[in-house]
Amino acid sequence: MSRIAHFFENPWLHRILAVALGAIFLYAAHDKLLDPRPLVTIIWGYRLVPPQLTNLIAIYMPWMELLVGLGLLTGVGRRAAAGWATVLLVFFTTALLINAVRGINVACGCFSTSAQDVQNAWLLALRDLPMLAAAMVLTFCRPRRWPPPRSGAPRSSPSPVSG
Amino acid sequence: MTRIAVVAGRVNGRPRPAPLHAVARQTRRLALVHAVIPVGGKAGRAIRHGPKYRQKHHGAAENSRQTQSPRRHPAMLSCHAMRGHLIRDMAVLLAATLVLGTATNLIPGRRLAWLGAGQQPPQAGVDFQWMDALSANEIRQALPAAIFIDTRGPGTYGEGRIPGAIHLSYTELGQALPAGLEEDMRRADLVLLYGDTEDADLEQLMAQELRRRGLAPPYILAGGMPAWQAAGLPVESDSEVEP
Repeated sequence: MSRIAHFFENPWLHRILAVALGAIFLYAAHDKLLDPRPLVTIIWGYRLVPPQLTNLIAIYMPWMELLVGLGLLTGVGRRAAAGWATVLLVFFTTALLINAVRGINVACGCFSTSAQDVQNAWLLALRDLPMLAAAMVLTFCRPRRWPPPRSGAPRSSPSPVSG
Repeated sequence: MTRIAVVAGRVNGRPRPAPLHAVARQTRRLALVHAVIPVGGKAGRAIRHGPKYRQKHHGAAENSRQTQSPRRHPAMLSCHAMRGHLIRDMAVLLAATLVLGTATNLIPGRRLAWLGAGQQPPQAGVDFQWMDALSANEIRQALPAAIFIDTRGPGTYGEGRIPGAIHLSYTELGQALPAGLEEDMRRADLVLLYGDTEDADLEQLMAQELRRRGLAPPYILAGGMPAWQAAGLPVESDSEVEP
């Protein structure tokens, strides 16, 4: 168990996951930011939110994706960005799974705003799971300090075990 | 009287635990009366098992240690739940999203109604009407002023399209239309949109946009280009048109 925890606290693992996830979110935000109007139809196509809210989601979600991508790539507010990535991916995956259970293959709206981009909802949900796992690792596991402190190094502050 | 239990253990990459007299000085500085230092197997278990073990075996003393300790032990900093900073930073990110989204939605030309009032999903019979391939072909021959609009990509448009159809993508519709096209569509007997999917989501959206610009509700080819080809109706390509 400790080995698994040790692996998830690897700072290089965190950097790789953050860059990969950040790039994915930036790419996903690109089309939607240029023109959010087709996104309205895609969100409506999920048939999960009331029509009054579809526009609000189309207005704000691309910006959230952009900020999450930038946060993960640059490291500024990385945990907060990863936290929002987790929230978004939980939302996306749940929406896809609900439509998969309904037997509806929706236009995902994940990486393009084309309503013609209809794919198998089960596969789309499956595709989201590794991203969700990465976002959760970045949110809930704190990376070890790098480089690790040397055992012989002089103490600059009181030892944690000294009271 | 305050009592404290200090859990000491050997952790890889960190100095050995301080000797007893150093701990005593530190505890005196913090005005603590008592110091208990379990070292060895018990300390290792305490670190491995985490707060529950410490709470069970040290009770109130553990709580006191947590509040008075100047630093947390690194072994206790591993995979942990959300804390105050995370919530605060997420709130900042949300606020930035709200500001940016609101600001950009005020830009003319890309404005969406806040509550969907002006951008309801397109509705058949209101924003557009369906037409099957055979009827569309008859109208194409009977009404020379009918305009057929191909919404697919430029490549597929060049490979094969309904004869006389013009290409117009949704993105182009959002920008300035080619000179005179909007006026031509106003004068046309009929405007028909077609793509290559059965749902024709994009064509529905385009029809809604055209209607928003004051045009009569256009028609959408049911089944799109695949239905047209399946009916064996004529198709033209760029190679046939070019000399």
